[in-house]
Amino acid sequence: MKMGTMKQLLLLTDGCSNTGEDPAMMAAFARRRGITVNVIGIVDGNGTDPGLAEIEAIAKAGGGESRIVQAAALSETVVNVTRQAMTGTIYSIINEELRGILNKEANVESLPPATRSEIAEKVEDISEEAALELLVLTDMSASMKLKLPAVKEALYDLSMSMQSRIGPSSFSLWTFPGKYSAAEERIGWTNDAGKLAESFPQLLSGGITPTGPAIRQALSSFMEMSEYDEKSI
Amino acid sequence: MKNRYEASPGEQIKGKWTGHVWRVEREIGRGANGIVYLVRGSAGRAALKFADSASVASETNALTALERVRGASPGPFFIEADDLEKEGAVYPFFLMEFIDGPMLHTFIKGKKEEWAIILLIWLLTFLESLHRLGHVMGDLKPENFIVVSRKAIRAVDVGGMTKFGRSIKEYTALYDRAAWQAGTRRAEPAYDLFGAAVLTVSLLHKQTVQRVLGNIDDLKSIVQSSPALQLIEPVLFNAFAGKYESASAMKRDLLLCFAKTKTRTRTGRQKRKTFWAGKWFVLAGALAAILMLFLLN
Repeated sequence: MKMGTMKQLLLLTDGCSNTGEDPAMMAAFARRRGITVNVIGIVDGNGTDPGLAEIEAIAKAGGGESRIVQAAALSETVVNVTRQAMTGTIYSIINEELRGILNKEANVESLPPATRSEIAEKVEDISEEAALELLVLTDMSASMKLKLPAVKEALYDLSMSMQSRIGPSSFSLWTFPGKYSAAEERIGWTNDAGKLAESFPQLLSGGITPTGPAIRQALSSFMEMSEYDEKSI
Repeated sequence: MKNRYEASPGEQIKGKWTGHVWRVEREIGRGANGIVYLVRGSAGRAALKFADSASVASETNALTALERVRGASPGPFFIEADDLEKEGAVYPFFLMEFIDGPMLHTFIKGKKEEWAIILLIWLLTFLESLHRLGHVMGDLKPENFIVVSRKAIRAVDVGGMTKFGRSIKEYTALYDRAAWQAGTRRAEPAYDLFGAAVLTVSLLHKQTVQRVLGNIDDLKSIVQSSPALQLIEPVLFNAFAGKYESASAMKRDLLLCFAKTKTRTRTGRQKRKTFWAGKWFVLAGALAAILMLFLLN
């Protein structure tokens, strides 16, 4: 099986968006363009924050994974979510193929376990070797202040895992709200995952939380990149 | 985690594909990836693990890969994979050999500190046979290993097993080379050897190691201030620095180093202590001699 580039947007946020489009709608839009949206909600206390429903809705609409974690557990979660979203993307392509061959209800789980193991081996090969474009979009509104060191550490951790992959990977870092727009590009597409943590900004942007518009703007970065690819071919 | 099935003791679990019935005796393990139960079927006792479909499939592959090791397998034997269907939902699970015995950290409780070195030797033997297959263990936490009666270590959870050259599938930060900023997360023997060295230190000083996580110099000072670990300090430091390319090289050094410390310790410590310690030095010396003979051949 040939695999194109896996495109992922990873949103790190701690709460409710309060302005602009519905973020779940923007995530659904991303999914239609072949970009998986994963969300990690960073909470303070016992996980009863009002932002939880929104976090799940975004990931569901974006075809990705969602987790709610405390800042201390962020590192391993970021790595796991990214890995699982990669295999998730491949499985959803396989499921689609199966529905074409078998019936509308078919998915990998409806196959006998021995066949599933064979598929799992192929999926692992693909997710290790396929090209990956990962855009990290971080909430920098005032309430994130105490969580920023954990975010930086998690990005370092993510870069360690991603640099150990066999396949080519590109990374980009965006933060929101931006100075003049909803979101702002901090690091343009690079193959050096190490830059994610190295150049992670320490200053908060404060103010509003325009999660929806931020997703929309960050998506433009994927679009520009694929246009660029076409031109360069 | 979604789609997690909770079984209760006495419950009968019937496989959708094989029709085999397993009776749950008790829960024996629980982690981020799934829950393991001790069950009894027509063929006897087994360990049954519920996990999501992808993990069941990938652990099945890891376990069958391990069975290519000749003689005793370093991990549990794979029995079969199946699904439980309940109220319209599907819960994938698989069965493996039930390995009975204490986990590394339970085993060492109440024993002399020098036992950590013996465990490291056994662990390296385990890693030798795993690396020969072209896989690393990845997740070197003590809960993943059982000390079996034949004086050897076997793995009970192989979720982190990764082919050489790839990025480690599953790890615990405390034993992870990248978390200590001492290298990448690429699967290679040196990754496991680093983890094995940290595991040895943390078997004796878990809280302290946890506190300094990320700072390799602090980890080194823990080794230097521990009488038992001082004995093998150069070997641990080499493993931290990624100087060993194979488990056998580290084991050889460890045995030599252990044998060398014999005289120094005998003169330096009180009689009662050396009586017990001496036994181990003689054993290690003998092992080293056998190894040297073997190497010279």
